[in-house]
Amino acid sequence: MNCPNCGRQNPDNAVMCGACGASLTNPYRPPVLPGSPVYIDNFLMPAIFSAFCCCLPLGIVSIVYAAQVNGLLAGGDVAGATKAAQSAKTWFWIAFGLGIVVQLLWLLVVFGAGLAGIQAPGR
Amino acid sequence: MTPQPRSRPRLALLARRFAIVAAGAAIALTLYRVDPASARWLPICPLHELTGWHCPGCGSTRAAHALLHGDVMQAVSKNALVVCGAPIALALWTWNRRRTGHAWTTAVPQRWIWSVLLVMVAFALLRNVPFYPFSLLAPH
Repeated sequence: MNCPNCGRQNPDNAVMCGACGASLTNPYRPPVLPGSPVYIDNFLMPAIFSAFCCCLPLGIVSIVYAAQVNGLLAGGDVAGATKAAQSAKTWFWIAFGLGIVVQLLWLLVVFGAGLAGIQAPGR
Repeated sequence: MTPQPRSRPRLALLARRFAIVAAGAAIALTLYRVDPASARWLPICPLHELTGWHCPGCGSTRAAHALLHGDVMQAVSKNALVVCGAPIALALWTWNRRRTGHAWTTAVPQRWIWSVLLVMVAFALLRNVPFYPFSLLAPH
């Protein structure tokens, strides 16, 4: 690893930097032990739900992001996986929110037309 | 990445569970009493309204209505993918949640995920082919 203080390359198991003596063990960021699984909420289930129930095109965007998370994670790219998961989550909420808005507008049209005594638009 | 679930007060947890069960029961009761084939105000599919195409989710409210009336064959004919896939998805979600402690992870191999997408796209395309036997997949 590189020393966070002076940037010099040190052996991975070093506790102190060989050049400047700075501590290489960061108590606030414990290293991920090799073999211990890292789980990232990939939001695949909500993404699929939003594609089925709310808004197909935006839900698919969410699914595409969600589907990349496990692959990136398997390749060791935790930062990339976290970013993809975040995008999946964002697009899920956009798809879900838009879906809800459309349904509410539809309700408004149906009941508004009913109150006005007009036949609601056919399906 | 969401943080590890915090330990909530017991009462809040109970209230949340009760709310989820109550909402589920209300939706189930509505879908049991109301026939989605004729009710206008139930959720519509914007894609179907705009294009006339059947999306992979089309027919799922009608399928739920049929299922609640115990008519499995009718439900499958309305939306085979949702009727077959929803129990699997629910089981997978519960299993994942127990195993990993993360509510929204899907810790399965990448190949599975692409397969699910492939099935979804294939189902969406096939059910829009307007002749037999593909028309069996459409929610008519």
